[in-house]
Amino acid sequence: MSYYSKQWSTATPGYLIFLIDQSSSMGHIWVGDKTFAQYTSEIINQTINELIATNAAGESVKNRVFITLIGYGGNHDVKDIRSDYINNYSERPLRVDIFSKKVSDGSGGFIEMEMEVPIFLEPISSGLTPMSDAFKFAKKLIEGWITKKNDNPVPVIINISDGRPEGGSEELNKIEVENTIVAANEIMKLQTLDGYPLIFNVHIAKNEKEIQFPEFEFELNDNPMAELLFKISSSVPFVYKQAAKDLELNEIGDNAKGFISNASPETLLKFINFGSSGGVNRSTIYRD
Amino acid sequence: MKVSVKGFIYHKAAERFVDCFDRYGYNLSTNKFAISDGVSKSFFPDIWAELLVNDFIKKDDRIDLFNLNEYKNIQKEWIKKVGEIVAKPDQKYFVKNFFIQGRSAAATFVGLHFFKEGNILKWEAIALGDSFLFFVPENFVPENFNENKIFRLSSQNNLHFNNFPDFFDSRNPDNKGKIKQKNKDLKSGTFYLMTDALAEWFVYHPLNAIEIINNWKSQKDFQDSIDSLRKIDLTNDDCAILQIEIQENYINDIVYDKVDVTDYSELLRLEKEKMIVDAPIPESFDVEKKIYNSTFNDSLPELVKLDNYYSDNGEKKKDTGERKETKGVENNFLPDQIIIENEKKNSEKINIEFKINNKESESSFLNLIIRKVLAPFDIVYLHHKSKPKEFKNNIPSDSDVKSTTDKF
Repeated sequence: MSYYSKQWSTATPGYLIFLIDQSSSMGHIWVGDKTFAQYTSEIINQTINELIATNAAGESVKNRVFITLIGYGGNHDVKDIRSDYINNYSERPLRVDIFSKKVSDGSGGFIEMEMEVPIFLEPISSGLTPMSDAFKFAKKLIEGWITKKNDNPVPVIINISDGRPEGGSEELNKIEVENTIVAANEIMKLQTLDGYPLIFNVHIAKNEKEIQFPEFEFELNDNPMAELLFKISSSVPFVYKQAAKDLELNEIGDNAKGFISNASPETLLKFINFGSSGGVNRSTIYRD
Repeated sequence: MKVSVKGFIYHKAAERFVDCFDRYGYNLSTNKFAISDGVSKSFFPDIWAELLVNDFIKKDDRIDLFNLNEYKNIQKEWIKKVGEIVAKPDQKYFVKNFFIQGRSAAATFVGLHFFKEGNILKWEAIALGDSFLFFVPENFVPENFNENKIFRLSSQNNLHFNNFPDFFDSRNPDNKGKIKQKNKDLKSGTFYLMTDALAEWFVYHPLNAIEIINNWKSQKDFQDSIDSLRKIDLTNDDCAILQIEIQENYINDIVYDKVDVTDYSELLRLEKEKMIVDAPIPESFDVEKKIYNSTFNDSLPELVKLDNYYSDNGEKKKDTGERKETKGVENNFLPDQIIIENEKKNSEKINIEFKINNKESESSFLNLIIRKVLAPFDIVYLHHKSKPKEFKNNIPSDSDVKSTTDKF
């Protein structure tokens, strides 16, 4: 069996970890009147709701994926906002917003139905950017996962940030960057039967030149944040390439890293869908 | 021609028959056979797959790809059936949402029909998606194997099996992909209709597959064999197969011999019975037997609406039916104690105390209690001795890590 070929299933659930920057800079306006934090929360809520949809079997939701939401920044440094199987997310959102909508009744008429939009993550934006501690915490969780589920699909981390790791001073910032690289690389060296855990990074920004799936560091125009995230991003496995194509992201080269620099709001949505797709991994090559 | 039919169906590993989205069917009076695979990431695909199969096999007439009205009628039937489920009281928000959003079901399909044209017996088939029809002629000799001797029909040209096959859509007027159709004289040999996992295995291991399939004599044989194959080279997916063997008997008509096709609805019924017997009863779940027995009464409502409940501070609340009241995390973690009473029947109060060590099962256990035990009661008091865990405002400790990894 080749690496990255395991499918998310009830027998072998996937593990998805979102690392969410909740530092003060995420409070800046990004889309319309929404801040980076607000829009990012919206996208993650949509993504979880979409995962509920794709794992729904009629009236129940199959536990094909376990999701951890880790916030870093805010007033809490690093926080396990929520860790649960997808069915538990579906059963217990934080709250539900209600809208009305008219729908076809199948006989030419319409009925008005209430649409309930679940919320799993609230936007937060304050404090520093303790990215390294977030990765260290994620590493412990992944080690725990591998101990119990080594035969499952590799865990996937999606890190969303608008800025560099921060420690509070120039010197501490430098240490924080180094620690982030160490922690992320330690995660990428962990091994499961399905391969090495994947780290996909997205740096969100307003009106900056976007770079998708770079293959080489020189493509990053000496941008220190981009260079850091490039270093801590996994190479994109083959099985994720079709997902990128389906989502109309840029074509992924042979050496491409799972990283987008200066992502626009539209690209953030696509990238998170890409990272949470589980890949398209059902291509058997065995023959008699 | 003498015709024998075998058919088996099995769910994915670690799932149940109720989770299976493959369907098949046959009708000996119309000489039709069909198999369909509901695409798992679509909305109520099992209902759609079943409707496609049943509609195909019920009619005596030839396959007509251009009968759009017929197709629209099946779509209307799907909307009607799903609409009824969506409209159930206390239906989950995501089920309602997905219906309102216009989500549809998708299913692959293969249909086979035997008929006479003039005095000649013929077969005709259609296929869409990665479900396959294979025909292995009677004179097939494994020693002289040539892949071209096996006829196959599918809209999957490139034999690349993935999660995005062509399909019939339950709401949209257009299918994804182009339907393939074939019409030939009927000759001795065996037709195999199968959904994607088995088809993929058959395509890449034809000799081995034919030998193994021919040895499946019962549903148990089939399940045992699939369990073994999944450890080697069979994808963990729902599996369904119809095997239709044609033998020359020098009668120019279809005469059915053995028909041994597992009845999916019977498998469901047996599974339901077994689940009731196997329902988890925690040791500390101390409820009077007469009450517990009542949980297995099929006439109970699917999901209870808690008319009243008490919050932690003892304040009596009226459940307004709003999700915010009943679905929030704070209100939905497992209480330490539940007190129930039935005002109408004036029965005694029952105390239920919980000591659940396995927190992972907390949510599903509460759900079970609500559905199965509390349903008949008018008043339910939820009592929490302790508050849900608050997150600390610092870097998670090892015990925080443990509390998460315990859920894996």
